[in-house]
Amino acid sequence: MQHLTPSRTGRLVALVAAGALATGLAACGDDDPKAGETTVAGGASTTTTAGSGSAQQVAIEIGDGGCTPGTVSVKAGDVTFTARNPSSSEVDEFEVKNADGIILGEKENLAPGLSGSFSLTLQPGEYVLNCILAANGEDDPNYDKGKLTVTGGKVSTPGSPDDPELAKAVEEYKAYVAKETAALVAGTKPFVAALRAGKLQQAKDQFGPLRMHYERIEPIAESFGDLDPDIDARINDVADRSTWTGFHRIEQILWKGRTTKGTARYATKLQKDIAALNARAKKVDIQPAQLANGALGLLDEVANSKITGEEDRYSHTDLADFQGNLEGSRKAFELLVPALEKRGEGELVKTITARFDDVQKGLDAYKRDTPLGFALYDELTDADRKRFSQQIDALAEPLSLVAGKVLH
Amino acid sequence: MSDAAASPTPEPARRRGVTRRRLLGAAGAVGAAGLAGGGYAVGAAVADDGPGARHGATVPFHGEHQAGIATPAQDRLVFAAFDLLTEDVAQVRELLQIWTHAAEQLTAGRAVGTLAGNDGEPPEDTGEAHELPASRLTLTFGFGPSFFVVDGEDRLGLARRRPEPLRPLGPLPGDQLDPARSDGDLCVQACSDDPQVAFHAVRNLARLGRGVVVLRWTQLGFGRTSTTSRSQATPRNLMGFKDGTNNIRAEDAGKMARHVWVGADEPQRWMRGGSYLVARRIRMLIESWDRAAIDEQERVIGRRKVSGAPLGREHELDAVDLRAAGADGRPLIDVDAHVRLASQDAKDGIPLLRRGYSFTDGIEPRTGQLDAGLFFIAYQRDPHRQFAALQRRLGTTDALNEYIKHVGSGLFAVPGGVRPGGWIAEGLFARA
Repeated sequence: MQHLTPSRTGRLVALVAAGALATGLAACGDDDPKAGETTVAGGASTTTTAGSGSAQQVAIEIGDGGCTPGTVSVKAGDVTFTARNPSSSEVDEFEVKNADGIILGEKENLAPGLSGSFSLTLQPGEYVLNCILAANGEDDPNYDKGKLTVTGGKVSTPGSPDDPELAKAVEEYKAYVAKETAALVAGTKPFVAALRAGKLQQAKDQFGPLRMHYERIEPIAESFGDLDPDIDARINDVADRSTWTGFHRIEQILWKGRTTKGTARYATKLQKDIAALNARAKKVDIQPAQLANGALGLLDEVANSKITGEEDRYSHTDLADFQGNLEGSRKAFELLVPALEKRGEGELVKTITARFDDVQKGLDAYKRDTPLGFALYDELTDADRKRFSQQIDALAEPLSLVAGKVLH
Repeated sequence: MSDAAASPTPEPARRRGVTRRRLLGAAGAVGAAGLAGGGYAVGAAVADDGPGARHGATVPFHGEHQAGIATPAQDRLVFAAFDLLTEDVAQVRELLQIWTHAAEQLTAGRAVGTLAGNDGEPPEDTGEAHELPASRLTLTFGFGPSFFVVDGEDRLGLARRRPEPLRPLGPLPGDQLDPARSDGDLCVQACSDDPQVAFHAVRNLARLGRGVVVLRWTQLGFGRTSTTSRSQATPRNLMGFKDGTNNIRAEDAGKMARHVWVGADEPQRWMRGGSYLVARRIRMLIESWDRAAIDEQERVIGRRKVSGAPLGREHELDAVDLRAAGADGRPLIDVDAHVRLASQDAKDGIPLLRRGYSFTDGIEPRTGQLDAGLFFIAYQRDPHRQFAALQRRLGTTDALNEYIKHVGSGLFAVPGGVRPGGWIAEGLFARA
């Protein structure tokens, strides 16, 4: 693991769920290049239109008297707001808020002559439109001026598991996770047996290959906040080193201490934690966004702890972990390919696939006919370390667009 | 304060370098002339209040507290950690007298000696700040734990003067520290609105110290990331977020006294009115951060990126509401959001005066990735109860950990201010 925090992917479950209920902060970010900034979600992805059907368009002029029109009614679903400031120096911001006063989308810094747009998936209900001078804040007399009524029935948000391609991707990913956690449980048994029997070399030989099952599905493990640190913390991740447990605790004893003595209690706990992981993984609710962001998170893992040799600092089995992360990332991506292609993102799929191939080709050169299957980290040349790092960045950049493409 | 302080004029030179001897000669002369000429003063712009005079402004060196802590944060930083080369306390004391005099000149926008003296001799001042205004230069001096004790050895005979909180921070979660960018026996924090002025100060202090101290590491900071005064707007860090919105402000005397300044209850008198400086070189994993979705970035920080408003609120200065929940009952500010864990206002919040700077040092040679981030500086009364306690919390659970590495660390005791005619930490050398 990289750090003890339940990772981005785990949190995304929460985020996506919260988003769906709170009307989905799905933004398409059709930014007028001249426009001010948007604070709505959307990131680097541009020009996608909302998932099903075309979005309703709402044009708002912001001016000294507030929003024009001041009363708007739309049907539930995807709505694209375009705010334009023809000439006002008194007003520079347009916001859509829900009845609780939470901003769902906004355009800021709309100086005279600028416009900008954002999209939301809106559920039926009452909303507020604000055209204000940001600097005045709640003192602005125009505050809470406009009214937006959303009519019709509840809509399913794009990116939700109702989408057939995404639903299939999620089901297959769940099966993949289940297979890996089951393999982890099965592999931990002989590993723990070797530790208990004092068979140092046997235990060492199993360490790297066993971990690969974990590394493939690490984002799911990380979504269980307490399990990941217990299983995979590194020495500098823990606040109190006397509580340090898991793979790397055992690794330190095996390689630095050159003994199996003292591993028994950690072996017992590891087995228990991995059994718990296996049980919880079966019941986990996986969202489509989690696949995309998990794929990305695994590459961040590679870039920030495997390529630098920080992950397995005693055993130097980092390249096997690298392979595990890469496979897990690729698997999640490939499951999303049908959804991406349906959305007309064939070029993106091609680019990402080619870049996965580049990284894999480089890593293949480090495959060895050993129990680990890979060279030890020490063999990695300076030039290759740098090349891997840059290849991962080149792969992760387009991969970071996938979540936005499949969700919106 | 002490008999040592009563005679700032140094003992006759024994092992001193010619430059320092000359400067001290100047110091004596200046003292006699009531600082009128300032050695070789060169057209310094001092406290010019005219229009556009910001860069010409000076920050007084003397005062109850050292400048560079509560004074408004300037835009640029050069931070220098030094190691001692001597075990002779007299040499160290003399160096601090020399540094005091040099700092008085530098912070007033003056040179530290001749710019072009006699033929056949090198100039005393290195010259690159000539004709540049003081640019609010402040020089803040501190002492590391290793100044007093190394491997249990009382290296200068001053161990009994070590204040209790000045003990190593020890390993903290998330540490990936490079010894070559950590620790140090002494430090100088040089802040200015002009990086060349700050660099000039550190360069000349290092030169004046040759033979007694040697530079251990330095860090250039190119943009302030903190606001220490209500008169300043909140700047953005390299993650693109406003940083330090809820920092302690110098105007809040109560908070400064409670959380930043060492009080009269400190048995080591020389530390009263001082503070403890913790410096952390925090590398941002820029490439990973840049590809994180905006909602992930905002979740990690707990604020909106553009406006700086806490999630669920409207404006930057709106109070962070840690209990606010969305329609689904989940907290609007994630349980691991940085703003939640670092909040000074939470029930168990830990206030610090932050004074950090953005840095970049080109690329990280091993991976070719950008070597850039935040050079975090914080001032506090007790580094163990404040910074270390906070980092124990952040280092294990902060969502931001996915995107940062703590790669350098330093702890320094920053004594109280220098009075006119006095010198840095003179009480430390007072005969008990």
